[in-house]
Amino acid sequence: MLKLTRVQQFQRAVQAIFGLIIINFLFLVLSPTYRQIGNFQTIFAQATVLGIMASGSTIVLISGGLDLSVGSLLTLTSVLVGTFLLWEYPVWLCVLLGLFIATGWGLVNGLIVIGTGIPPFIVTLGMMMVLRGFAEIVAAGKDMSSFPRSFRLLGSGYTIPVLIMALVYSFTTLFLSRTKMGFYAYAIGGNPEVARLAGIRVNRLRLLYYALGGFMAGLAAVVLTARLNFANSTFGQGMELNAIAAAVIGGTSLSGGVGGALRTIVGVLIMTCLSAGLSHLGIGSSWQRVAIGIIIILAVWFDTLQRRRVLQ
Amino acid sequence: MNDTLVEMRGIVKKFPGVVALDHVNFDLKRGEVHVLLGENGAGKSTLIKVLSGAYVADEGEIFIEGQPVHIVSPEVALSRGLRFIYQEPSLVFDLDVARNIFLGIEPAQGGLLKPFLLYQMAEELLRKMQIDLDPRKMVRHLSVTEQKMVEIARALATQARAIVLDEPTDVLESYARERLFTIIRNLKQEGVGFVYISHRYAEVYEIGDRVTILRDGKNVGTFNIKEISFETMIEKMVGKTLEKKHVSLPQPQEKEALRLEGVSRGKVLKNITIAVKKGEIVSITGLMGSGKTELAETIFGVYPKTGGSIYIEGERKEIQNPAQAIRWGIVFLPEDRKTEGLILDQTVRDNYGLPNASRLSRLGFVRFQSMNQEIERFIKGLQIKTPHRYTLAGQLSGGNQQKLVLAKWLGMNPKVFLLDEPTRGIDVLGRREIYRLITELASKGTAVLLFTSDYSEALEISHRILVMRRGEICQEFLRGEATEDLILKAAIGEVKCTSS
Repeated sequence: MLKLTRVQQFQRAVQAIFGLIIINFLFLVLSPTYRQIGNFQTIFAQATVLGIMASGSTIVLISGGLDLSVGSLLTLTSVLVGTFLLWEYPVWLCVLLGLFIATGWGLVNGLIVIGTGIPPFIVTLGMMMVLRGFAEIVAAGKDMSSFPRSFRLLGSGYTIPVLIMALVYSFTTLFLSRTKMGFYAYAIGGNPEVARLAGIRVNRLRLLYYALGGFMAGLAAVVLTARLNFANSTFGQGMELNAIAAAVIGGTSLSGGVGGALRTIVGVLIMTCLSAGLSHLGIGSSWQRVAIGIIIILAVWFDTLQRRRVLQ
Repeated sequence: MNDTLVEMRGIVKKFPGVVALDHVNFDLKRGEVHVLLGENGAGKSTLIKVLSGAYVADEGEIFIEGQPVHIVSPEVALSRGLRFIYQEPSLVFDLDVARNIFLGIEPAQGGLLKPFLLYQMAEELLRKMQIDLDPRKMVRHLSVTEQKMVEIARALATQARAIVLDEPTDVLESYARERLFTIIRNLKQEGVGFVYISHRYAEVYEIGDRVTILRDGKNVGTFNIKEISFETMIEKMVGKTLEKKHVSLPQPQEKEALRLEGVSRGKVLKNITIAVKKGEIVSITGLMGSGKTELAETIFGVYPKTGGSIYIEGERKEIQNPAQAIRWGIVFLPEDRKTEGLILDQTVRDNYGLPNASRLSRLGFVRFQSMNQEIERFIKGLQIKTPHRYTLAGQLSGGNQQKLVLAKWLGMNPKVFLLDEPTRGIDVLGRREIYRLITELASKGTAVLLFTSDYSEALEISHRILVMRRGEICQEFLRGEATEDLILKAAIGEVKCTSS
């Protein structure tokens, strides 16, 4: 009985890892180019941006929230940082300002959700359009590029971005599994009324989780902009859905209360490996999208089946 | 013409470890109200579930209008004209009265509804039943009583011959009961039979023709109402004379734990003044809507007070939210443990951690090892039956879930423990355990406020009983002074409020 309950808890994580191994095994067998070491470096580098953003989405989802605007927030941060850089502000200031604005916007989303009681889906759907609009206004249809070298360093190669992602995941994992505020995220996502009656300051904490989600989107924007050495108002579209999908594939529940950062990284790797592998096999991005869509549905289906079984 | 609508003979129903029904006989005649009386766990609801087809009896026969019937599913019961009205309304809240009454049997032609006819039929039916309701009103906007009436109307629209009412007045206020009783009396004239389930002795006389008393799964007698005295009825129900009810309670201490002075909240609470000593158990009782739950919520800061003051150990404290209440040592076991007390799909350990994580944290980091040790100690100490601390709370039985809610608050070492209906829906054994824990708590100096609608519970384990009505405290009884009858009289307003 003892073992069973422990297994139940980690069942989804184990499944996700298993899925990742199968996908990689298939591609390793099928594609000669997938085997090259350089490919894995590329995969990791590609995974960083999505990974950083998804770690924030994981926190928000666990606490029972949802933020659909982080993709647009990434775009806005990116063009803002780009603009600041072109104004020749010091690099550290540009990065700091970007992160500050992104965090602030996460907070604003939280304030609106909590203050008005409108479902987060609606609030952040609206905000997704608002932010993309702002991004277009800021960029004014122009592409920004040729950023200073010290800035490009943040995203170039794969060592620094992967290091940043490792730091982000260390933080998120520690936050969710060891700290009081992380512990409360699960409680609030599980049942906010029970949490409130247990003396937990539910609203304040939800603000914090939204702010963290915003911060991670900002950080992802910095890394992406630095890596591409380029910013305009078109990229980042649909990123929020990829981030949520990665979290869900990893085993974080859309209805809150269940999940973890390490599971999300598995989800991110599944998505990245899948699209990389399919590219290596010469399958275009449209079919890649089809495949990822199916994986998402399967992941949630597994989740539903297991919950039903446990609660019977 | 056969006068017996329903006859149940020698019904036996066993569950693992318990005989819930032990050769029970029960019958219902045309045009009568037959009250089914018994304490919680006596077998009332099991008997009704056998009749409704929710359970299949292990032994025994059921006859409906003289014909033997095997009720193997709810459909069989429905097709034979039996209707069941439970405590929780089974209505569609976003449809209007007429739609609800004729749900599934709407007048239609070729798949198209005939709304005009629908409302006409509804109006006719309501007029016939002398129910004063607009058929176009949304059920959501009806009072609980009116919802019951819609359910009765629905039963009649579907040719009900017998209607089972499961504790209908548990959720009704006293003035509303009268309307319901009038409707029942009218329908009796038409030959409809009623099974009326209750644990309130007083209303048996108001509405019943016959009464059957169940105790520990056995029928201990069926009587004409006129031939049974109040005392005999209670004796039959409890199985012993009343004196034996006195459980020994620990002596309260001299020091005061909690004092409310003129506390009010909008229109629901008026000028409440109470003082509770350390180690004292005070029951607060009254009808639904009397303000007892509201009082508990106000003390705990769920909905803050609008007037008056609250003192903890003699010091005036401001309580605007639960977090503050907890800081001053007040904890609250809410009425609905499944939606307010526990997160069902999280583990026993994590549920325990909800209020305790803060205490067990250093520099923002939770010391999970200490948390594990504490919950293990409570699992042993309170005898919470769970396979493991990582079992999901939703997998425990009702009694054990409630013990877990107690445990999570006991970890906080409370000065004042507010308990709102702590034994609702919990079996007899679980109840006894919870009573034991409450008295233990008091003996350690915690002040206990027990908010309960179960008068026998109030009589059994409290030093004092306060009766509330319409947001006021009406009467106070010391231990040994009160009887269920006196409490009921105070609760329904036969006695004037002493404070008003």
